[in-house]
Amino acid sequence: MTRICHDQEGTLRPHPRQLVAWLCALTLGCLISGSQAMAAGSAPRPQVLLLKSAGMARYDQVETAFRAQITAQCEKQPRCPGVTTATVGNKSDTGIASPALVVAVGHKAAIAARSSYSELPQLHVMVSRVEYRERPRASALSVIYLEQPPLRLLRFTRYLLPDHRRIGVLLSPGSPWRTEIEDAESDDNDDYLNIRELDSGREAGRAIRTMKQQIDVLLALPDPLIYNRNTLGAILLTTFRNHIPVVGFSKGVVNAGAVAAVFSSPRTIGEEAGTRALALLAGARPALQYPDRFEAAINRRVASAMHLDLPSDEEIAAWKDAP
Amino acid sequence: MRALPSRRACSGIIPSLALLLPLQVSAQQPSGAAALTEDYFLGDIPVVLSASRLAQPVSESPASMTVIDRDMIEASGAIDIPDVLRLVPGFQVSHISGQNQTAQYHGLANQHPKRMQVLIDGRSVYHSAFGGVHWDTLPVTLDDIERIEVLRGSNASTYGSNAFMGVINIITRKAVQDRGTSVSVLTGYNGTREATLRFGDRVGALDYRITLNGFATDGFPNYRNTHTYWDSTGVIAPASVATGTALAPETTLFELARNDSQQIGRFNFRGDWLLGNGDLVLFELGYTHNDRDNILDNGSYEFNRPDENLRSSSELVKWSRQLPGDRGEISVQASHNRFRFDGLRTDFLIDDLDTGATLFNFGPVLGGSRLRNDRYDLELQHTVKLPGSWRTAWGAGIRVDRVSGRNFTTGDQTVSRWQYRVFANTEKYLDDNEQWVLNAGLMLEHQQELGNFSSPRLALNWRLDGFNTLRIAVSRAFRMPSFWEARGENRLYALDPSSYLAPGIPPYDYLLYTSNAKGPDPERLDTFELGLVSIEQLQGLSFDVRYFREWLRDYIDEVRYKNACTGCDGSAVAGIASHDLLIHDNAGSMDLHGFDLQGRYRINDRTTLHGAASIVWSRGQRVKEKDAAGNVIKTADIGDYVPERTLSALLSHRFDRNWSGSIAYYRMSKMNWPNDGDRLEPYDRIDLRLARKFDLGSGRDAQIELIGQNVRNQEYSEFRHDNQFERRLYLRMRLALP
Repeated sequence: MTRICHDQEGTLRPHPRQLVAWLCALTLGCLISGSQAMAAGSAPRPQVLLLKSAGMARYDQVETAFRAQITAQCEKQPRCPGVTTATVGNKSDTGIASPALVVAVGHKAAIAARSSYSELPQLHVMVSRVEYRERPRASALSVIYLEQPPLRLLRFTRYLLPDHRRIGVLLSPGSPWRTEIEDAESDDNDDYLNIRELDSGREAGRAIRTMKQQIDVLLALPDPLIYNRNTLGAILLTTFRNHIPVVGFSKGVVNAGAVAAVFSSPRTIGEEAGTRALALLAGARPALQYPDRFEAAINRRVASAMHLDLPSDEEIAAWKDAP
Repeated sequence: MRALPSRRACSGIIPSLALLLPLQVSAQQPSGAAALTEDYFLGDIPVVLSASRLAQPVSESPASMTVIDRDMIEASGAIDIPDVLRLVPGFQVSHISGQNQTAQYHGLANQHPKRMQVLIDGRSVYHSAFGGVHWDTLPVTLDDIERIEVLRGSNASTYGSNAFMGVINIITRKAVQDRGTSVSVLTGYNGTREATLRFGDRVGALDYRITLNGFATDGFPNYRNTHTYWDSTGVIAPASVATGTALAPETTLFELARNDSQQIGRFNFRGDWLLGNGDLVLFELGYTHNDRDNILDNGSYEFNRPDENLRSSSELVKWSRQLPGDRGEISVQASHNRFRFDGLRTDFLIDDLDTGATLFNFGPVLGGSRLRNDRYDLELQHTVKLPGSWRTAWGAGIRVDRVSGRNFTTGDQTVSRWQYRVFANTEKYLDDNEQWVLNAGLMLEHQQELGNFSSPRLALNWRLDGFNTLRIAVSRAFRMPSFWEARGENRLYALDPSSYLAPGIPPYDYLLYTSNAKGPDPERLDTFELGLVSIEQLQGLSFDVRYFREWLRDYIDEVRYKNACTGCDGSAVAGIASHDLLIHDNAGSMDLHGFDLQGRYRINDRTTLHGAASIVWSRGQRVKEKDAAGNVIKTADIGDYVPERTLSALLSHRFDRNWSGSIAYYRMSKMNWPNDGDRLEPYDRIDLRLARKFDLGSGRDAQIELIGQNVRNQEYSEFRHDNQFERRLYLRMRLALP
C-alpha cells in the first residue's frame, strides 16, 4: 500500500522512502531497457546499396523517393536498413563489403549490378522488360519493369473512353506484346482488338488510314520499331486528322499529342522500389513483375480539340487508386 | 458522323511534330533486339531548337534560353508580341509611340533595335534598311504562335551576323492544330479594338490555316511634356520658359491632345503538306499594312507630323525530308520579305519652311521618306549524326538585301548587299556517362563590300548531378551596319534658329544625315558566359543563372561633325552658311557584365510562378561630336544605355475548370534610351488578368478575358517622356467553332 504524505501547503507528495524506491526502480528499468536497446542495436542493420545510372535527374528523383519510402515504412519496423548510394562509373569505394540487397536504378546500373554483384540479391528498377525476356539464372533477382501491364492499358482505355470499344494496336513482327495483349483481351473481353503488324513505323500512317473505319482508338504500346522519334510525329498527325485518339505509354507521348497515358514516373518507381526492397529484406520471394504504382496523364487540349469528354483529374485519380 | 477536331488549342501536338526527342531508339533496330533504355519511357525534358539548330534539352543547350510557351502567352494577358517579351530576363520593351514598340536584350536600343535577330519559323524578319524589327508589321497574331524561344546572348554561329545580342525565334502553330473557325474580339483603352478571324481546314494532304486580323488604336491619349524644355521631338513649349532650361522631373509644362493612331490589317496563311513519302512542305504567306496618323493639337494650333504608311509582305516555302537509315534530315528553305515605308515627312518640311512660320516636327523616323526593302534568302540544312557520335547541323545559304527609295541614299540609288554563308553546329557527349557535352559552332560569311567574317562558339556543359548542369561558353559575333548606317543619306533641311526662328521655336540647327565614303566597320561582340541550369526536381522548381561578360567593339552611332558641310546640301533656303553632318561611325566601345536569372516554381497543379531578373553593370564611351577635320570635340558616357536592373514575375492560377487568372509584375531601373529616346526614371507595373471559359457544347467553346495593364495607374514613361503609360483595361472575347 502506498503511503502518501501531505506537505505543509497541503499538496500531495510521496514518502521519502517511497521516493528512493521509485528512483531505484526507475534506474533498474532504464538499465534493462537500455540493455535491450543495445542488444537490438548490436545486431547489424541490413545494408542496401542503391546503384544509380549516371547523368540524369530521374535517377536522383528515384533515390529521393526511395529513401523517403524506406524512412516512412521503417517507422513500423524494428530493423530499418541503411541505404548507401553509388553511381555507375564512379570508382570510389561504396564502403559496403556485402550489402543485403543491391537496388539498381536504370539500364546501365542494372548491367553493372549484374557484373559486379552477381552473387548478391538484386532488385532492378527503371528497366525495360525487353531486357529480361529470358529469365535470368540468378534466382535472387527481382525486377520492376518500366512497362505497364497490357490489361491495365486496356482497362484504362476503356475507362477513359467507354464509347471507343474498338481498339487498334500497331506492332512490329515478333513483338512480345502480341501474346500478352491478346491474353489481356481474353481476360477483359469487352474490348475488340484490331492488331496490325508493320515492318516499320513508316507504314503506320497508311495502316491507320486503312484501319480508321475499324477502330475507335489507337493503343500505342512501347514498340520502338513502330513508335520512335522519327515516326511518332506522323502517326499522331494521322490519328488526329482521322479523329482517332491515342492512348500511350509515357508522359512524353502525351506531351507529344496523345490523349492520355499510364506510366511509371521516377516518384512511383522510387516508392515502389522502397516497398519492394523492404519486402525482399523481410524474406519475400524474388519476382519479375510489372509495376503496381503508376501515374496517369491527360492531354486535355488534344481531348478538347477532338471533342472527347474525359473524366476529371479527381475521377482519374480515384480510378487509379481503386484496387 | 464524327465531327472534325476543332481549332481549339492543343499545344501538346506541337512537340510531336518538331521536338520528338524523348524516344531515343533508332527506327532501324529490330524490336526483339531493341535495347529500350529508360529514355524511351521517361524522356520528357523540354527541348529547344534555336540555340544550335539541333533539338536539345535545355540543359545541353550551348546558350541561355527562355521558352515562352502557349500557356505562358495566354497567362500573361499580352495584347501583342512585344508584351510577352517583358517576361524574359534582361529585356526592355517600350512603346516608341502609340504605334510601335521596341524590344531589346540588354539595352542599347533606339527605335530600331538592331542588335537582335528575329525569326518567324526560321525566316528572318530583320530589316536591313534601318536594322531591327517593326513589330507592328509582323503578319502573325498572338493566337498564331505556339511558342517563342528567346536566346539570350549572341548566337551568330547559328544564325549569322545580326544575331548579335540575342535571338527571338517565333514558332507558329501547325495548321492541323487550328481546324475550324475562331473569332476573337478585343476592345479597350483609348480606342483600341481588334478583330481576328481564323479558319483552318484540310484539302487532301494539305492542312491550312488562314488568319485575318484588324487592329486599331488611338495610341497615347495626350502629349505631356514633363521633363525638359526641349525634348527629342522638338515640340513647342511655353515662351515663358527660357530655351534649354532643365525642369524638375514630373513637372507638367503643357499637355496637348495627341493622335498617334494606327490602323493595321493582317493576313497570314500557313499550309502544312504531308506528302505520301513522308516529306513535309511548309508554305507561309503574310501581308500587313499599317496606316499611322500623327497629330498634336493644343486647341488652337495643330502640329501635323506626316502620316506614315507601312506595307509588309512575305513568302516562305520549306521542304524537309527524313533520309533513310542514319543519314539524318535535310531541308531547303526559300523566303522573301518586302517592306515598304511611305512617310511624306521631307515634302512636308520643305513646303512648310517656305512659309517661314509653321512649327514643325521631324518625327520619330530618322530617314527615308519612301523606301522599299527586299530580302531574298535560300538555305539548305542537313542534320545528321556523324561518325564518332557528332550530332551535327550544317548547311549553306545565300541572301540578298536590297533597298531603294527616295531620300534614303545618295542620289536615291538602289543599293544591295549579297551574303554567302556556310555554317555547322555540332554536339558530342565526351564520356560514356553523358556528363560532359561539347557544343561547337562556326558561321563563315562573306558580306559584299564588307568582307569575310567568321563567328565561332565553343561551349562545354558539365552535368554536375541529375538536376544541375554547369555551362561555360565563349563566342564571337558581328553586326553588319544597316543600309542606313552604311549608305544612308537624308537631306532634312532646317534652319539656324539663332538667325531665323523666333523664340520658342525648337533649336534645330542641322540636318544632313549622310555616310562617309567607307561606311562604318561591323560591330564586334566577344562573349564569355558561365551558366547554371537546374531542371525541375520533385519540388517543382527549375531555374537557370547566367553570368556573362560582353565586350562590344566598334560600336556604331551617330557622330556629329560640326560645320562639316559647307554648301553641300543643295538647299535653296537662304541664310544658311554651313551645316553639321550626322555620320554613322564606329564611335566607341562598351563592356558589360552581370547576371540573368530565371525560374519557374510549380507550386501545385493549378498554380505556377515564373520569375525573371537581370542585373547588368555596363560602362562605355562614344564620340559625340567632331570638328570638320575629324578631331574629337565631345564624348558621351553610354553606360546608362543599359538599365542596371530588370525584374518580372508572373503568377498564374487555375481556379477550376473554367476560371483562371494571373498577376504580373514588371520593374525596370532607370535607363537612357539612345538617340531618339529619353533618359527615363525607374518604373513598377502590375498587370492582372481574369478569364472565364464556357463550354457551349457540340465542340464550341468561348472565353472572356478581362485584362488590366498597370492597374495601379502609376504613370510612367516609355522610351520618351511624352509616352505616359497609364492604366489600360481591355476586354477580349474568343469563340471557337468546330
